[in-house]
Formats: sequence, structure tokens, C-alpha cells
Amino acid sequence: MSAHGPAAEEVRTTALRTGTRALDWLHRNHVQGTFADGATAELAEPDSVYKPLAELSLAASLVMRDAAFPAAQRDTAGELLDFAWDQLRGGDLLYERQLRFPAMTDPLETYVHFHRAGYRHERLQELLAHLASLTSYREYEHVPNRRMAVANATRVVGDADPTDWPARTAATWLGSTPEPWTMDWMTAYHVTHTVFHLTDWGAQPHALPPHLRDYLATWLPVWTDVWAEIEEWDLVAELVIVDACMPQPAFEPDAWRRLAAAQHDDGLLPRDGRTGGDGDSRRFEDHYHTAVVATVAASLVLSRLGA
Amino acid sequence: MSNAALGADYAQAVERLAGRVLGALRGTQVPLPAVSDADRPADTTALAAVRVMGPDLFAPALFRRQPLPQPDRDTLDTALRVFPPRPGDSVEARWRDRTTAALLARGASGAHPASPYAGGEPYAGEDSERAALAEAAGIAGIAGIVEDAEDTELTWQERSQRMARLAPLALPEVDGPYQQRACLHVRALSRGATRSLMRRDHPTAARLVRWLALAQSRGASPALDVPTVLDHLRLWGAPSTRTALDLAIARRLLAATEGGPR
Amino acid sequence: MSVQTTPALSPVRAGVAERAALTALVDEPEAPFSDAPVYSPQGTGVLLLLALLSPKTPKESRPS
Repeated sequence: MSAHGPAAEEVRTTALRTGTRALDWLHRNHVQGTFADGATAELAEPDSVYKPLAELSLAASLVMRDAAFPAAQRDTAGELLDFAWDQLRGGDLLYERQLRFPAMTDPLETYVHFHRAGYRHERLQELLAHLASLTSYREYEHVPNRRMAVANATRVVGDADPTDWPARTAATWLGSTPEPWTMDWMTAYHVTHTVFHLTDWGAQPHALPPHLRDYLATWLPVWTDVWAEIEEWDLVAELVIVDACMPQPAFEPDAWRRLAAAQHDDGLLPRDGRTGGDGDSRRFEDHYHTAVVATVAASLVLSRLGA
Repeated sequence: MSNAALGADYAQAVERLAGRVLGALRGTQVPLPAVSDADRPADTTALAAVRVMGPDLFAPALFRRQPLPQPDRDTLDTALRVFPPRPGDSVEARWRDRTTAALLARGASGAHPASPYAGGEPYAGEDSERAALAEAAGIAGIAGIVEDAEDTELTWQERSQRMARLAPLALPEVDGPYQQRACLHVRALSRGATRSLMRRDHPTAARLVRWLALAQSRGASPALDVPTVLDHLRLWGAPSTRTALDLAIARRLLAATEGGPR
Repeated sequence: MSVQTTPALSPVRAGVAERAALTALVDEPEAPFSDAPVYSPQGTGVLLLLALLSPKTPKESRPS
């Protein structure tokens, strides 16, 4: 049934297993990411609950969108979205936060995942449409791949998107196709996010311009190998997502084998080889991000491989 | 002497010899021959260094299109008798020995551009070159020249690992299956070089970049900008003399390209 | 290979230990451990920011 070879079939099996377990781990542990009573738009510590909620929602919304996991996992994703939406008071928290801090992008970048899954907050939409129309909002000085995040989220929620995508892409590190050996850890994340937003998380692989496709096809295997060797699992999972965003993914089994081997029996996928042991180093807040990216990676890979 | 001390002795001898070859390559005061008079007749340690360097000993002579001086040829002969090729040798070791044997067999008349392994144009010394190859092959217990059947199946990591060990084959005026593979597989080698650079394994990166330089000098297009990588290795590499030699040979190979730098 | 006689004693073949030392140098492998870059010093906590990468909430100071 598959147009892909045996290596891709191994990837399918491993991705399904690893992704399912990661998603289930997220679900079992998600209540740790609950707002204390009376959380307001000011959010004294956005990293502790708000961001995990947003990232959970990202993973869950893509599981729904791609519909490549079995029904049980789609139900799990639905529950996570309901939980997160409830925590955000049906979107009111996002609306209040955007009113309070018009220059911030996280309300839009969070709302987009719910919008993708069918949730709506009318007043927030109206506010976002107005902001999207402002030159200022588009030109606030964010890092280049943040601007692409905003541009992609804008078009996904249905607002007019006057973004000059080629120009925005050219402004990123990836867009210049630089010397590949000079990549460092942070730049790797900039590259992965550039690809995520350019392709709307793999929904539009052909949005990648040919010169970037060629560049990534050549160097992605090297970067993946280098970071897998030093057990940077979070980054490896993001690089796997990048491969799945390409028009012709390589679907190399090795990265998935290593991720699967690093995953614990309870589904915890440690962010790197130095953590994830007992006690304190198994905290949700430290490792939920890796579960998120592993879930997204599996969802997209399964979707691209086909039924 | 303990094995560790022996290994350290040999490694130091290799560094010293690499320094003489590098000096000869750069045309500084250290003249050819590469093995100094003070080291002749060479003891086991010096001969081990000669065997480790292998084809690299010919680098200054090849770039100058001159024959290897007779004293060095004699030392190589002796080294091959003290440390003969053997059936259990790795593929890479066997190919280095083949190349050394072929270069030795070219004789005192100088370098020849034709492949020492294929039919090619007849040139003076071809018979003796074939005889040398046969002898080297026979010594190693191989019947004829054996191609690696599995070569086409190599991953870029495996190919890079092999080619790094075969870096002494990346020389001007030398051609053969591995030189041809270097040109054919520039993308794999570019990946390998990038991986080694990111791992900060600069000696391996230098060996792979030497192959990329050779490939570029023969018309192939590496996926990396070789001069930029050479600069990187010069600035970050803190190279051993052996690695400095690899880099110097890489630069000279590039310079041999039409319109190349320097 | 040269069949000339060199004006010296016939060389003695290297023993096992010498051969082993030679082989180790000839078949030198790549560096066994990677020294690839991990996160930069200011990177702790960056991981948690990554999907959103939004700046910290500014401190509110209410005008009196």
C-alpha cells in the first residue's frame, strides 16, 4: 500500500508508538499545567503554565488536523484542547491579555491552535483582525522567525495577510543558506521554527522555496546526526518535524530509533540525555516540550506517509 | 617498552616526519628528501613513521613534478620490508600500500598523469609499475585488484569514515577508484566534513576537506565552500603537524584548479 | 619494488607489538566523542520559551 520502502514502514511503526506514548504522557500529566485561581492577563510567570498550555494545544490541534493517529489519540487530543480552552477561560484570558499588551504576539500565537481545531472567540478575532491591519503590529522588532509565526497565524485565523513571504524568509538565517557547520543550538531552533511557519506546520510543504529544499535536503541529515549523537532529543524531534515538512521527506529511521530508545516506559521523552532520571529531573515543566514535539513529529510523519 | 609508550614514540616520529614533508611542500629550508640523513639507516620507529605517512611522503615531489629522491625510495623499501603489508590489513591500509607501491614503481623518470591502475596510455615504467602492484597485491594475499562490491551501499557517514582514512590517496597526479569516488560522492563527503566540523573533530574534517579539494580540482562541485572551511580549520583547528600537512596539501590541490586562489 | 641491494644489514621484520602500534596509527578512527555545541550560557530556560518565544510580561507600575 505504501509507495515508500521498508525503512519508511519502520518509521511509521516507531513514530506511531513513540508519538502515542508521548501524547498519553502529556495527557496523564497535564493537570500539572493548571492555572492557580484568578490567573489574570498579566501572568506573573508566563513560562510556568501559559506556555505549556499553548504548546499542548499546538500538539493537540495538529493531531486533530492531521487525523493520522487512531481515534483514541484524537479523543485524547480533544480532551487536552478542551482542558486548555477552559484554563484560558474560553479565550477570555487571551483577549484580555491582547487588550492589555497590544504589542504582544502570544495571544495570536496561542489562539491559532484553538482556531485550527474549531474553537472561536469573536471579540478576540475582531481585535486580531484590527491588529493585523496595522503596519506597526507587523513591524514590531521581533526575531525573523517570530515574524513568520505571526504571519502564519494571521493567515490561519483568516485575516488578510499582506506578508511578503519571500522577503520575510530571506531575512531568516535559513533564508541565506549559510555555512552549515556554523549552526549552533539556538540557531537550530530558529531554523526549525522558520520551516514550521513557512509551511504551516507541514500543511504546505511546497511553500518551501526550491533553494531551501535543496539546502535542507543536504544538511538536515548532518544536523540530525550531530544532535542525536549528543542526545539532544528535543532538538532531534524538531528536526524530524522539519523533514516531514519537506515536499519529499527522507523519513530516515535512525532518528526515530534513537528517540524511541530514549523514551521511558511511562512515555516520558527526556529533553536530553542528561535528564529524565528520577525525582526532580522528571518534572512535567522540564519535559513536556519534548513530548509536544514528539507528538507533532509523529502526527505529521504519519500523515505524510499516508494511510 | 610498554605498548602505550611505543605508540607514543611512533606518533611523535610521525609528527617529526610530517614536519619535514610539510617543510618540503612549502619550499622552506627543509629540503627533500623527507627522511633526513640523520635518520638513516632508519630505526624501527622512523620506519614506522614512514609507513604511517605512506603516500604522503610523495606529496612534495608530486606537486613539483619531480621524482622522489633515491634515499627516500630506499627508506620506503626498507620500511616495507620491516613492516610488510599483510592479509589481515584493513581495506584502507591495503589501498594506501597499493598507492605507495605504484608511486614507487613510477621510477626515477618522474611523475606520470595516467592512472596507475587502469590501462591508460603506455608510459615508461608501466611494466615495472604493474609488477610492483602485483608484488604488493601478492604480498597482501590478494589476487589482483579487488573492488569493494559493497561501496555503492555506503551511507554518507560510512563513506566519510572510509575516505578520511584514505586521505593520503588525495594527491596530485594520482588517480584511481577512490579519487574517482571522491568526485562522484562530493555531497556525502561534504556532509561528513560538516559533521566532523560540528563535532570539532578537526583532524578528520581536514582529511575530508583534502578530498573535497581534490574533487574540486578535478571538476566536481563540493557542497561546501572549501577555501572558507580551510580558513575555519586554520583558525580553530590548532592542528597537529600531520593535520597541518593535510591542510597544506588541500590548499595546494585547490590552487591547482584553473582560476583557483593563489 | 626496488631489487637494489642497499648497503646495510638486512632489516629485521617488526614484531607483534610494533605492528600493533603501527596499525593503530594507520587505521586511526575519528574522534570517539562529539564536542558539538549544546545550549549557549544564557540558554537555560530558553527551552520553555521556544514554541512561543514571547518576551516576559512587563512589570506593571501604576501611575499614582
